[in-house]
Amino acid sequence: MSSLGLNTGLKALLAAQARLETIGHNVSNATTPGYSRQTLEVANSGSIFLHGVLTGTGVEAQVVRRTVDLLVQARLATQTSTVSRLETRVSTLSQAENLFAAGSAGGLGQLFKKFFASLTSLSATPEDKSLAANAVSGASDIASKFNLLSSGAGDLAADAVQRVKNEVGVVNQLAERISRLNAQILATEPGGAPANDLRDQREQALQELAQFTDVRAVEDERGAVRVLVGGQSLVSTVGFQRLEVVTNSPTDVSVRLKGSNVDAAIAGGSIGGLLGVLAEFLPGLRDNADQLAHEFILEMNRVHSTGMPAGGPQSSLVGSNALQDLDGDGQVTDELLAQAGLPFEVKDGELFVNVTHLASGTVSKHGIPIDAARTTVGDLVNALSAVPNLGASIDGQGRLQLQADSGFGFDFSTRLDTTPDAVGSFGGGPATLGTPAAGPFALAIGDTLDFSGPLGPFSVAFQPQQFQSIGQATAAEMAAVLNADGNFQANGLTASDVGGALVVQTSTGGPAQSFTLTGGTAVAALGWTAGSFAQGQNLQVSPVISGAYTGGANGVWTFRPSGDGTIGTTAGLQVDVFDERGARVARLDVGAGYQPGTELVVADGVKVAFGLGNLSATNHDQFRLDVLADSDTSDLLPALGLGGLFVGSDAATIGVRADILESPELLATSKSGAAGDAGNLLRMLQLGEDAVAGLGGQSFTAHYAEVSGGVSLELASAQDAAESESFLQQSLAAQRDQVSGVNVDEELARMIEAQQAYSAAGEYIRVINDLTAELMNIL
Amino acid sequence: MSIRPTQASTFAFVQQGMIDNYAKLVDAQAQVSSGKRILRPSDDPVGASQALNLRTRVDGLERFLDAIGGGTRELDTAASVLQDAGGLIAEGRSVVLEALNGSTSPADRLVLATKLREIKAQLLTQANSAVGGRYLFAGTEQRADPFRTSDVHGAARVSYAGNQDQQELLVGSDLKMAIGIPGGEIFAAQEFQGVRFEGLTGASLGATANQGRGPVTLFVRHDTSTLSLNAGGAGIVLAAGGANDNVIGTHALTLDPVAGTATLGAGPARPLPSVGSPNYSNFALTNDQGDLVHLDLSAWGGTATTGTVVGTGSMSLDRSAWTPVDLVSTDVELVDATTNTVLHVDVTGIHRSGDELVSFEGTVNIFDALESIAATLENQAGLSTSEQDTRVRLLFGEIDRNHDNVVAALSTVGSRSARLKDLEEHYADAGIELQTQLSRIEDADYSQVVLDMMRAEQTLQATQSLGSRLMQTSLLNFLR
Repeated sequence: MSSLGLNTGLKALLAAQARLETIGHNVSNATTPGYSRQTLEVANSGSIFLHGVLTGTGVEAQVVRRTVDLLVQARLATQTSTVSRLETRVSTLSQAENLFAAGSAGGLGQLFKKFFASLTSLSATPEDKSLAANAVSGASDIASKFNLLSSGAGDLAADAVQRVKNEVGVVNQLAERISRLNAQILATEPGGAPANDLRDQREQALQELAQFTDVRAVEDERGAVRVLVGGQSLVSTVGFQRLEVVTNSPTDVSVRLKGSNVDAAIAGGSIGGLLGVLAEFLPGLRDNADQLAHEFILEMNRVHSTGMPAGGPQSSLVGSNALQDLDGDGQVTDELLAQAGLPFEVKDGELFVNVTHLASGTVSKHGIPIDAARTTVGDLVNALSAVPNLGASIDGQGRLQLQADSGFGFDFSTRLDTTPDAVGSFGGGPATLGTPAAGPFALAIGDTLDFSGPLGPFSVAFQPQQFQSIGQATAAEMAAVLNADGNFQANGLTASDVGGALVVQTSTGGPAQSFTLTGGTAVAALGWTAGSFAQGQNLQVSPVISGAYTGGANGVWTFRPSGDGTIGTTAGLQVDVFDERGARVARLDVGAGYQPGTELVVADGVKVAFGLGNLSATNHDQFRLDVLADSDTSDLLPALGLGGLFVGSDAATIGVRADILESPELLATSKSGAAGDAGNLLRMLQLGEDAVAGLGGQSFTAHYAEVSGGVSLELASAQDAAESESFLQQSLAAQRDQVSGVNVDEELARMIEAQQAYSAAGEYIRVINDLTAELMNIL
Repeated sequence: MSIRPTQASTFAFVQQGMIDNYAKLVDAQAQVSSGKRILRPSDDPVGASQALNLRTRVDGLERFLDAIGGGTRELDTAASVLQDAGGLIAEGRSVVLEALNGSTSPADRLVLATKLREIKAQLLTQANSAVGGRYLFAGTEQRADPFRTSDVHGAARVSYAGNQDQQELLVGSDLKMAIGIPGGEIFAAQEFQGVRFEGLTGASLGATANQGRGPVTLFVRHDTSTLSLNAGGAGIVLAAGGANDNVIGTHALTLDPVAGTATLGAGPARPLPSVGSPNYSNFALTNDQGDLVHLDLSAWGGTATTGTVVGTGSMSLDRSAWTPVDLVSTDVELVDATTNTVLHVDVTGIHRSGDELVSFEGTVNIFDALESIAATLENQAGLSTSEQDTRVRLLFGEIDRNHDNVVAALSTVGSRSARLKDLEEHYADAGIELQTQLSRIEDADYSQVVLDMMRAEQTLQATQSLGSRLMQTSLLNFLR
């Protein structure tokens, strides 16, 4: 007997044993994640010529091979990245949704509602201090909520940045592991046998890596795998690189290979999800909150600063926004108002300020023109200080301060000047001569005006150095020249500028007061006639304005009588009212049949009452009335933060003005100045309903609802996407498992098969042994 | 499904199935316990944003209803006060009518005057009434009482210190409604109708327009008298030098001892006093127009005589600046700076001195009317009954006018109240409609949710049962 039979039997035994070992390996690793079942490949070990017959030599175990579907694995890795990215996005958006909490009790929408409701209650009794305190605390709640939204969005970003840093650390660890496995596989495999378990481990590491970032793995012909992350090579055949996080700002980070200056374009995995959220969603969230806060502050302050507190005009105000010295020369007064670093835009327009003498109630109204391209901070301070009984200055922190003289108060409301004829140029007591039209007047050098007063005739000459341009002499300049003239003063005369027209009067009233304009070369330029005589009277017309202007645009009305006569007595006496373009607004009948003191309606809600007195059209009696729809057309007050309800300019900085928080009765409830008037509150309430231009024509609550609704919509769509991608991932995992997973029943069946093969081989060996023993016995 | 299931994939599958079903059960549970279908906005973003819009509109309606509630309270209070005030004015009117009834004695008139003063005081309280610290009839000028009393040349006058603005409430989107009525329009409306002189002194209206309001007193005072009689009147002088006379201008004087009468001007002949009687040295001769001259007849010879008595006088509005009556001017201007009154007087008809009541008709407020009438009835000036009546009648029309204003104000308040009620109903209906829509979107449909919950529970149980059986089948059970 040849040893072939024994050999064959031995080989069969060994093969069966090897199979059992492989089966045992499979069974014990049935639940190991990432394990691919291994199969022992056996083959017929060839045949040899024995005794002239080609005889087989038995079985030969060749190699243990793992069963993998590379395509499924690659797809699974990609899918894992996608699912991980979406789930990260869902988690961040979910936190953002909590932050906005649109429908819940503490949400911003509810706070808006409570604030406007408190304003409604206050509007019924505006003088009530406790209701005012309630309204102010509602405003304060809104400001705090905005602050919270801003800081919350900041916190979310900081969290995301921290997570990116943590996960980049894990990625680096995985890269090292993959590289190490690469080296081990390269070292082991040239020996001829595939390094199945090492490959499984490496595949597992790659799947883990796919959770954090999008991965492209390419195996080279030697068995090492190259890993590309975001287009950059993380693991190569010879080693690995580390990723690092570059902080551009506390909320803006990018990931790149250490030593590279190009960002890795990581678009998948949880890192990709976090970077995406940091790049577009969170800044968008912050911007939305800031925009809403910005517009809220602007609109509210616009209304608040042009109203008046119930307690009357204020005596001092400090702006809350600082003017900045942008050109760095240490001075802020040379900065253009529109370019002084103010958080709100300053436009061309005019600012009207009312100064009230508190004891008598007399109000004077002054307009300050603002030119965005020319008016500097210094110009504004000078113009405000030039207003009688008002002083302006810039404090050490660049804020504008306004202070009224003792016994006076100021405000910026649109209320009408109730006694617009300050100098008595309209049927007043003094003898009056006015110019038919407003200046400027075309004077020539050396022009004169000749008067005859109580002390006799005298003449006043006009020289070029007294004017900015003598051909464009303004009434104010001419009045200054006249008032400075000694003869003029000695004769008891005074000159004033009434809305651009020059008015010459005696300084006291009464029929004994008179003067004559005898002539002079300037007479024609002023539209006067030589020989005009003016006499005073005992009575005074003293026009009284009442009502509130309801027109849409600012204007200046001029009142002139149509003839000479006495109010209420002369038949057919009328007063014409002209607007700033010269169009007639109204014609009022004040002749016989008009009872002096009765109110007449002019137009647009403005009423006037004339007292008993003589009017002269010959001497051009006139007065002017500013009618305002908007007393701050340049938006200067909200830009400076003067007299507003809120301070700050975005969601992080918004707050309620400190002095209003302390004294809620400073809330500007009144529009007309009366304590019980809630006109300004009604304007604020209307803001809650109106479309806001800066918010794309939506109201505040609607815009807020849209923003928080947008967050929820994104969250819902991310959740849906995550769900469906996750489902796909599960089915890919099942597919992988189908190919590479261990079915214990299958292994057990194979085990029985191997066991039987082993028994059969053993039996065969026993038979060979018996035959050999037989042979031995014979010998 | 898998062609080749493995233990790992089977376990994962069973596990996932149980988790999914459990989650559905928890969801249904949350819906039941909160009653809401939308727990977080991301559950149904479209529905959530619709719900938010509806909520905003509901909030707006609540605000308007709030404002309407406040306005209605104020209007109702104003209505009841105005009702009382109207009743008081009607009472005052009947008191005045009683006074004008010819048969009242001075004592009766004093009692009536007291009554009028009481009515005036009560009316003043009503006009100054406040609700919750807020004056009802002050317009928007809430700092102090709207109707204030002050002394004007010895008489108590009430003036309106509130303003004409009406307090407005926002009761709809861009819909403002005036709530209060300024007191000036109710109790002190200025509806000028003309200037009327009482006619006591003979002064009348000048040509130029006048400026002023309410009842104004023109004080005409007698300065001197000059007697000039013919020869028969020798010995007759003016008693007390004419100090107690009130004649102004030229009045004819006739003494007829034969008939025993004396006649002043065109008046009826009055009996001469008998010689020796105390009246003889201080004979008060009057006529029908109330002119009065005192003659001292003690040195008279008893002869018939005719002649004139000429009196001079001055007039003033404030008893400090006096303008002489020159009896020819038709348009004398008198100015009272304290009340801003300008009066033009035609002095040609003045025949006696006295306190002439000048009424700027249509501008007398109810308080001044009652006050003036009461002062007249108290008769400090010693007027005759007919003179008193003339004065009272001059102001009587003002009472009616003010009463009409109060009634008109009451009806305005009533119509505003009705309008607010309409709005309230409209908003309430709209609110219900919105709430219904809101509920349809937000609230969980209980029957549906309970069904879902039961189904989820059943599926969970089935999954668990099947899963456990799946996981237990193994070849190992059969191998020995």
